[in-house]
Amino acid sequence: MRGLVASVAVLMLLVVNSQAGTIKGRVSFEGTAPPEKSMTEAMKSDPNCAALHSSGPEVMTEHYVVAEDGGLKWVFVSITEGLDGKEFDKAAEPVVLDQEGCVYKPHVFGIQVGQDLIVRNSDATLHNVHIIPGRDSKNREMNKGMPFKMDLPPIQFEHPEIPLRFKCDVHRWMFAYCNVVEHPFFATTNETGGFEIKDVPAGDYTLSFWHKKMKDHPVKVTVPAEGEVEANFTYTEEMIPRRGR
Amino acid sequence: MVASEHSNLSHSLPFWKRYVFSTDHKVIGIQYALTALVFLFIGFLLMMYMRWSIAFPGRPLPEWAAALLGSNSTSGIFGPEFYNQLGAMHGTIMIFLGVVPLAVGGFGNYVVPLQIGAPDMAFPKLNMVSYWSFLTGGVLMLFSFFIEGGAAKSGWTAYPPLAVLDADAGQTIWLIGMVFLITSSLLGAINFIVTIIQLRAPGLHWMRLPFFVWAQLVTAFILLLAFPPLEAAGILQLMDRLADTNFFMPSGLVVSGEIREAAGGGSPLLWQHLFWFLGHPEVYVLILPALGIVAEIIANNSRKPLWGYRSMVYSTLFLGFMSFVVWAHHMYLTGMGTVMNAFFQATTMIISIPSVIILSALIISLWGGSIRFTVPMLFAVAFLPMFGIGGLTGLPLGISTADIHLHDTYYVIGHFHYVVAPGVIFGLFGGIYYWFPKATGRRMSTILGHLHFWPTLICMNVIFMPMFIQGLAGVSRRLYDGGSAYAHAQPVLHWNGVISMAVWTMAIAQLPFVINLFGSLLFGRKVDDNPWESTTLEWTAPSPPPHGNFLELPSAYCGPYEYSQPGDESGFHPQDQPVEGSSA
Ligand code: HEM
Ligand SMILES: [Cu+2]
Repeated sequence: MRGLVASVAVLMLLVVNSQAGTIKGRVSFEGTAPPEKSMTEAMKSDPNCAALHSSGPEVMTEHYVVAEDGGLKWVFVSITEGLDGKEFDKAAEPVVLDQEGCVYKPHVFGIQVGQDLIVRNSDATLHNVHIIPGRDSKNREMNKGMPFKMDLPPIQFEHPEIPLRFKCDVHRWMFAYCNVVEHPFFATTNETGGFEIKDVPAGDYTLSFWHKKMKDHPVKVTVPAEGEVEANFTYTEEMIPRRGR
Repeated sequence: MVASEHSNLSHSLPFWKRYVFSTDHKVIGIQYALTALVFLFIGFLLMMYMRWSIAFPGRPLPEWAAALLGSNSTSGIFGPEFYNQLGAMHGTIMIFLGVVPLAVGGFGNYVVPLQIGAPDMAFPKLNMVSYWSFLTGGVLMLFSFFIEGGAAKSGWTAYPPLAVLDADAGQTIWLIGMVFLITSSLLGAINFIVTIIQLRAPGLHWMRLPFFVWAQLVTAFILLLAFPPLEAAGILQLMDRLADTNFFMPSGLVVSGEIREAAGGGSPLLWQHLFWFLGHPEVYVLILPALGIVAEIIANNSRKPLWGYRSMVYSTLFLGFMSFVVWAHHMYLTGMGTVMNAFFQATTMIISIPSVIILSALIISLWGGSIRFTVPMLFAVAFLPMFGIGGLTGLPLGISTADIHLHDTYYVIGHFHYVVAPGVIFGLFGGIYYWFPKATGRRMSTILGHLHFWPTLICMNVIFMPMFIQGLAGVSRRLYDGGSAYAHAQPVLHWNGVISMAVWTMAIAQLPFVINLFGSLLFGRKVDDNPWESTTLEWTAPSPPPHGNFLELPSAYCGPYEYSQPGDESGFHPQDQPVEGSSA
């Protein structure tokens, strides 16, 4: 009897898995993005940080990171509708947020509810991670000093929130945007604006694009039982809020 | 009569009523004392971890030590937030769960009724409730280490806005725990006051009271009058945390670069006033019982009446009164203004006078005595200079201009620890060695006592003396790295390692005490009712005293310290022995 249940379960898993596709796409930006600001001046407030960048490229803000062909970095893409009744696994691998050269790496990232987040300090200077949930959020505020090269014990978030802000209370230029979602179907765009969400159960979905300055944009996609579906999105100069221009 | 009824009664009680939910002041006293010793140990343990972080910031703990911390450390390193938890809880535990329960709940409960010739406290059931309320508060505090975010981490002083902004539940539990502890102290205080006023043996009028009883009486009044404002303040802070009130939260507060959205309008300084209105008198709650214990031990072991007994009593009363008008000397740097500073500076200088009188009287009491250097006497004698250093180093802190430099530095830590650690703790150790034979019918080992005393005395000074040096150099307190991030601290940084080594050595030096305490229960030399040839009434009861204390309730015929009186061959005259020409 037990064996039967087990093999049925395995079969169903296989079926579910085999009926999963990939959402692939590219986010781009059209027009002229506002120029980024240099953080060199600000970094002088902590000589330890300044020293880490005494040579090498200047550290800039990362609001509109646009590739030559228009690919837009740091856009968070996730499924926001259509997953009701579908099953998915909890992510096992922890996400790592590093503080390196007095910059959060990555600047924008996603995490599943309940997934472990390891906050790391790779600098031998004091950072103070301050997680600031939104006003109506049920996530917990957290505020921790990290004076040495060290990891914090794994943190989990219980409630979806886009975005959950991280800032360093020592270094006012340090921000990171953590996007907490209930499921594992999300991605962040890379330097070319590309992203890929794998193993999505076949079905109709709404995909949302989040950028820290520009408004969210939903896009409908239908994921096939096998293979890929493409989902592209283009931000334009007009979408930049007045204050951000 | 009453006494024998009591002792008959005790035999019919089941175990849990005799030893767990007991109403006997002696059982409650021992419950208090043992619980407090456990908490003192925990407070000490927390501090040993702090000293690691101070001496070796960023270096991983040894594996076994890290294992005890569970998820509070990652690869053996713990961060500043955990240091803050350790610091806040070390202070809270040492004061509210260690020293006060041992000095008042333990010694006060056990010794006061015996010394005044009473069969029990005036309100035995209240006494029991007081202990269980204390234990509840203590367990809550410890429990908070295991919840998400850990224990309270805004210092034992819990200053808002920090304490209110802290999003973790530890601070909430701290406040609830404090409400239990304060309730416990208030119940105890009422009980002591009524007991001492109402239940004194016939003939034991005020000027025949042992100094220890006076000390406990004034302590009880301080607790009764100083704690309610903090209990109220604690509940207001709870409201600020849980119900979004703003008693202590100002408007327009900027938190990590952003204006806090809240009505505000409250005053963080109000908390400081309410806290220190308890906080300073609390210092005397720590000191007075220890002074009382030391006085008993010194009179007994120098075989002389206390020198200036009356001036000691009047000084204690004056001290108790003055302790309510010095609180804001903790707040010179809050911008209260120079007029306020001048007032509190004056009262602070005035309050040092009775303290000096008491200490001087104790020192002069030694003069010309035939001193017996018993183990309790070693601790009592060492108490005097240690407490003296603590007191004298407090004077510069009481002067508002000098305090500008010294405020919140390690100088302050050195100062008050000389008062409470080699000071009060030595008094309490002395008391344990002194009254152990009364409570158990056995004596503690002298050899182990010496092995405990000498290394502890040396370590205490190696620990706290360098803190003055660091503090004068400007090293701030409450730094998880002991100041290593600061340029001005570099020249005195090497002391951190020295101090920490002495701390861990001192921990080992407590082993003889622990062995002695429990070993002597089983193997200690059996003693009669009055092994120290003492004069006060507790020594006329059997050792250990039965339920109801005395076989026959005693009367007092003379003062408490009739040692080496002319014509008295035995060298001491117990208070319950009739004197020619004196009546009970
Ligand atoms: C003998 C052992 C003791 C040692 C070595 C010791 C050491 C320390 C150290 C290192 C600190 C922290 C300094 C800082 O980070 O600012 C501290 C704080 C404190 N200690 Fe002790 N301590 C001892 C006993 C006691 C006792 C017996 C009491 C009270 C009766 C006490 C009360 C406090 C308080 C109230 C604080 C301040 C906590 C705060 O900053 O909120 N300590 N102690
Ligand atoms: Cu930082």
